[in-house]
Amino acid sequence: MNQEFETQLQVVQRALGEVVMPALGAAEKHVVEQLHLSIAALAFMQQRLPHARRYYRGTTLSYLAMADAIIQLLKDCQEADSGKLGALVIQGRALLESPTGDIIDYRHFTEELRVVIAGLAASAQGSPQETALDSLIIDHSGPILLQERVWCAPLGFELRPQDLPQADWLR
Amino acid sequence: MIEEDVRSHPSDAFIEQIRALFPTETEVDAVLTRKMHRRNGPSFQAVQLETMASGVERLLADRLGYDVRVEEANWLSGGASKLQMRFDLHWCGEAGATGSQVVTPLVLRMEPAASVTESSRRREFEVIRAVEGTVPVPHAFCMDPDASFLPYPAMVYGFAMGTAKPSHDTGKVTGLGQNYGPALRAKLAPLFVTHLARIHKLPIGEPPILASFDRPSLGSNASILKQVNAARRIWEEDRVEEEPVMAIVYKWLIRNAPVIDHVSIVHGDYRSGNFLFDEDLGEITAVLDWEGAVLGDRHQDLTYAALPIFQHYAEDDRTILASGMMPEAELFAAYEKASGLPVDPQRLRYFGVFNRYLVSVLLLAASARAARCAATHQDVLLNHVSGMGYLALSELRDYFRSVVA
Repeated sequence: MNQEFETQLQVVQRALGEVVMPALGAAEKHVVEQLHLSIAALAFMQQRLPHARRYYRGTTLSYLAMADAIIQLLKDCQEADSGKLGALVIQGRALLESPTGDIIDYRHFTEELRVVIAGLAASAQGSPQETALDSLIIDHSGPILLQERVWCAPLGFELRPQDLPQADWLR
Repeated sequence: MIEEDVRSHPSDAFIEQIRALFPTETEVDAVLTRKMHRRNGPSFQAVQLETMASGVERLLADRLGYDVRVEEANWLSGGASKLQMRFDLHWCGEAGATGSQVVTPLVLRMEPAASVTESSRRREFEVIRAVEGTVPVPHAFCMDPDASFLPYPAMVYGFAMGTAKPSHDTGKVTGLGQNYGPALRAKLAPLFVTHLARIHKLPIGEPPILASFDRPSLGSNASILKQVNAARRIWEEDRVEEEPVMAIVYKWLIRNAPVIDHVSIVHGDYRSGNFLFDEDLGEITAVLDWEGAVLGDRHQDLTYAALPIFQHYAEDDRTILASGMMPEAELFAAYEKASGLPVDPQRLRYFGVFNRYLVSVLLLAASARAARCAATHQDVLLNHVSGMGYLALSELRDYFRSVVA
């Protein structure tokens, strides 16, 4: 059989686009629209599947860099507790070094890291370090979100996709 | 229980905890609470036209006091949030003369199990009634706000003539980045501004008009705080992943909420794609999608219409057109002239942040969650638009950074 997911997705797209779509003819508009969107979702997966592991690993790396910077910022603030973040960073480094680390591991870890970072931002309200912490998170989030946009660019929402930075996962 | 499970299958304690943390308007609270309880029920089941038609017959018979007939029922396409069925109502007409037979084209608008914008049919009905005669809207006929006759809450309104997309550019999803073209734009843009000014100038009246809306007090920011909390509540209830930027912006929105200087009906989703027009005459025939309406600050609508996700470049490839109409600065100046109400740069910045925050919530949280829970008739569409969430969040981050600099 064709073992490649890409081929599997390619044949389904051709069937839907070249056989099913023309047969719909005078079907209701929302039916045709849903078929178009289904094909678009398959095309997105076909484009992104080969790069998924590097993409999610890159996101993990970026949030670990943010976490490192936060720990550095908070180390002189007695009232700020970054202990949980420190433990997560150690866990994250181990995950990146593990040869068995997979997409789902990177995704779950990054999600947990983001919850802890958001919690620190919320609990810093009114504290002396709040402004610096918020600025740091906002600054570090910029390049991360740009890469998320690059990842989603095939969906067609970008006004000028050519202005986006190069994909980190292709470097 | 991990974070994801709490949101997919919310416990009563979780629901109550979020309600307590983010107090909002009474009706909005009821709608959001209902959404969370519904999430523990079955997924959305496709509704047949026959079910809709028989339900609306029973609803209308109950409201009119005599039997009616529904014929020519068809699905209406367009929109990402509600099921819509066009039909012909055979009845005795507004006068109700016995024996007379009148045929009136109407639209049934029903919500699915969950939605990109969880909203109240009661409020939508009330606000359309309130603005009828001020701007073109379909006549709000009747409602079934508690789903007594239909599978989910619904309302019935008149069938409005017109199209949402120009014939040369029909491919845009829900009107995002809609390009009307220079000729049509020149006719529609002044009307787009004039109608918004009229909506904002309309006195809100006293209950029972707009009875399901909490009424803001002049000189207070309490109503703005309720709106920020409603958005944050949706984020807490629906998000599929946490975003630190959202936590920071929420703090800022609470701290910097401006006081109300003039109470307006705020459409809440005023933009390209949310009105019908006559392509030949270049006239707006109906302003639609009032489900996000609130009583509040006019700057909310102004900055919403100018959001980047509703923009596109003009033919010169340099000029950015807000809602496909005109450059942002021209939009604000034309509005100020048409309404006589001042446009305050500080409030523009605040609501610029607020609307970007709200859109990020709706895309990254509400849309993604509804699709994940198999809760709508358009899961594939909601899943698709949730992919715009990072664009919205990135734009929020950049704009917020420029505002607080």
